[in-house]
Amino acid sequence: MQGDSPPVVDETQPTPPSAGPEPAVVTKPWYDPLLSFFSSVHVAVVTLIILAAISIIGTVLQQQNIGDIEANLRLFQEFFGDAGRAQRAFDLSERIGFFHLYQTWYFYALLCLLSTSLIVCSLRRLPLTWRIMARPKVALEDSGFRASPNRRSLTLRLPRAEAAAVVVAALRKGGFGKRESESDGALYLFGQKGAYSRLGIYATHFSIIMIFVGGMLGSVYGFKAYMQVSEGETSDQIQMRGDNRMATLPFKVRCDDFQVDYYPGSQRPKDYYSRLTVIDGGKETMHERIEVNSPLQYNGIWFYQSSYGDTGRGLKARIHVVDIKTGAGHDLSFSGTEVTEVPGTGVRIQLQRIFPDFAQDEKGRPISRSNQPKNPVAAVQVLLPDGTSKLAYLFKHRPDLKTVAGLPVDLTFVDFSSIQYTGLQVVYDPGVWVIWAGCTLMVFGLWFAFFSSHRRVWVRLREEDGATAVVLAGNANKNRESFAEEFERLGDAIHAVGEARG
Amino acid sequence: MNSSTLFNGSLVLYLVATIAYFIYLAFRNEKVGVGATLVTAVGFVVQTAAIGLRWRESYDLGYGHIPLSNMYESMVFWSWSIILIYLIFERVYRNRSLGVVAAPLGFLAIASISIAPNISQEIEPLVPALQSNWLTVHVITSFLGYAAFTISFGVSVLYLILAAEKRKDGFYVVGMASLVTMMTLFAATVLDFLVQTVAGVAQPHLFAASFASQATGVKLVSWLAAVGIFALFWYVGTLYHDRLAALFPGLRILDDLSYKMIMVGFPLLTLGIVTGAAWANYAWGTYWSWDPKETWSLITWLIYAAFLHARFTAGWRGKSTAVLSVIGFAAVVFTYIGVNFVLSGLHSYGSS
Repeated sequence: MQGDSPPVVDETQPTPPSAGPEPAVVTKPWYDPLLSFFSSVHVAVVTLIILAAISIIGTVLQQQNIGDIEANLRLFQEFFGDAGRAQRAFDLSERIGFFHLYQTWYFYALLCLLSTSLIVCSLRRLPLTWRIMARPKVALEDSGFRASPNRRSLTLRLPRAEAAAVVVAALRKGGFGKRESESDGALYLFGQKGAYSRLGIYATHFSIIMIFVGGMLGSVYGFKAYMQVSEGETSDQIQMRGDNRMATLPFKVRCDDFQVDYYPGSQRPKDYYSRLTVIDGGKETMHERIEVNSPLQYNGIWFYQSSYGDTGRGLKARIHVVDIKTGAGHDLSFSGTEVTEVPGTGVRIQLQRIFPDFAQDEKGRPISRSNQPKNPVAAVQVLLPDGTSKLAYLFKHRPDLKTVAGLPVDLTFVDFSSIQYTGLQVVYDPGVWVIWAGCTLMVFGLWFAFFSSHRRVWVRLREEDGATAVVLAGNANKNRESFAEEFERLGDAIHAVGEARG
Repeated sequence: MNSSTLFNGSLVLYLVATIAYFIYLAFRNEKVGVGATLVTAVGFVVQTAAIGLRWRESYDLGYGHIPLSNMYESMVFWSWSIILIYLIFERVYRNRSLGVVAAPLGFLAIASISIAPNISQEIEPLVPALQSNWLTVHVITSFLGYAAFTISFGVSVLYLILAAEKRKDGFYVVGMASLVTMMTLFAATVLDFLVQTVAGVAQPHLFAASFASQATGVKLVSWLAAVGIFALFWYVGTLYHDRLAALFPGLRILDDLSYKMIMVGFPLLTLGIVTGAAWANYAWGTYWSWDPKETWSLITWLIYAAFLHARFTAGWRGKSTAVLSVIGFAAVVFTYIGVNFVLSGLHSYGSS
């Protein structure tokens, strides 16, 4: 009906007296269909369902920020069986953004649609809710009293003013606020409590918008980066996640120490932590021990213990050597590849290499699978007095295993250390407090929306032959059974006091 | 006496309680009803003691932590939560008829995880990332939420079966299919257990003795049996409809109870997601990384949000909302178990 012009009234003709008033033509604004669309619950539910469905795709196909997208190619190959179709499916998926689904324009568009729907729905319904809360009708009509799910009629043998006082006292005791008005010879009272609970749902919906805003703030103004600092070294260089470009922090971070504690008798890390010092403007401004679940915060930038590894430098090893002939044992320390003499034997030992996680490749050559000391093996060159030398592999976890027979000394690999580096996740997120505020608001909003009830009581007092006829009505928008009981008790209380006084 | 013994004890007690609730329903004998509640409550106390003992045992081993850190411990906690919420609910509504829904679900959860061949029941030391108080809050709120949704699911399946008048009714089919699926999954777990323990043949993965068998013959028979059982129940269900309906509270009450459980579960799930995000932010600096587990928990949340809107704003009632509750529960199961076994990511602590 928008755009209709009002009917033309011909002022020259008198309006026939029998005709009724002209029907009013309401000109709706141009944006009305849009408003209807966005405030429709069906649109909201459909958007939620589409969001849920699209999100599923992102859990089946690996996403590039947390997974390996090449694995998706393998997935397609398994699904299609045909390598060509799999490749085409992979390329198509990549082009339409399935591998960074949650950052695509269409995902954001859905979130925008949802936000608009939330905002429009709330703004449309809020005025009515506000009116119910703030401007309740005090003088309820007779039909209102009769239609109420909870109603009671009492007669108090008291003049109206005293009866009113009794009712007001009972309402106050029940925690109901009071309003009153006088109309056609009767006194009307109104009490309510928990009115604010009607705002719960608006708080919840608004909190969702807050969370979106917090997320946007973080994406636009924040950053996530990675930083590696070796023990004893200082750095201010960070590598941005995503485009991998290097950036410089406005202060320096020094790793004083890095430690890994293992569960006794296993290679499972129990704890790993770094001792960091922040150097700002040439001064040491902060010392902190950080570990997973306990980050460091400096000037709004957070440093999280993320990973660690072996730089391969500063190698130190301890080997226990026993002279087979004399039985004398010696604990020898090795630094780097220096040659150390075993006292009294003429045998010299040189540390060649340490493999923290020893394994053999397909050609049987010794390699280290990782930097983690899961299977430490020391390769040592044993230089014998006769001028020959033998290469022995010493297994820390298998001291019984001898790779070379007939040596005049028995070697046991005790331990080793090298300079570690600590891997830190560096994060700056100005939106994170908005997120937490939003989450808190959401939880409170849900509580009020579900469990807190808006309870209202209307009373009409009419004087009749020296006594007062009291009619009560009440309702609650939630927990109606418990309100019905409360209403009963209210009525009983008024009746009891009335009887006592009258 | 160790925690394993106590867990097995609670398992048996829940089975007894299930039988007792069925007898109560069939004969409406108050004494049996009281007995059923008592057995459930005792089972609950025993299970609580078992959890406490396991907690203590972890300290004795030198790597003490609250028993909420792996598939076994969380599934047991889920079972505990289902029984807890049910007992509270029984007290508040003074109604025992839903014991037949809750007790078997509590039993199924702890029984299946206790006999599943590839799930470690060992007390394991925590990796550094899990050493946090956030673990406790996040797991407790999430699983209490899951438990409330589980009870809502049970009530909704009951609703869908009882509300049907005709076999052809799609809602009836969904309800019966859900019931038969739960029964079949449990039977498959028992089969795995029997084949591994009694026949001595190691089972490499879940349902290897039936649906996921290497032998095509076994697989075929399993599927045929499942379809057969479904067909049987589907056919017979409507024949006994009136008798069944008389055993339970009225449809309106069932509908009411189902949505009330979702009203309990939804804020709990919200807290679970929020505390998970807070923990992730504290541990890794990222409160949300669209990890499959996180995403699926959000999907579950969205489905239940759709349920609440359908009911409160669009006025959906009865069968339509019951179906949403069933879909929501399917999402809960996928979020909890499916993600660990089918997808990969941060949360894959399920073995496979």
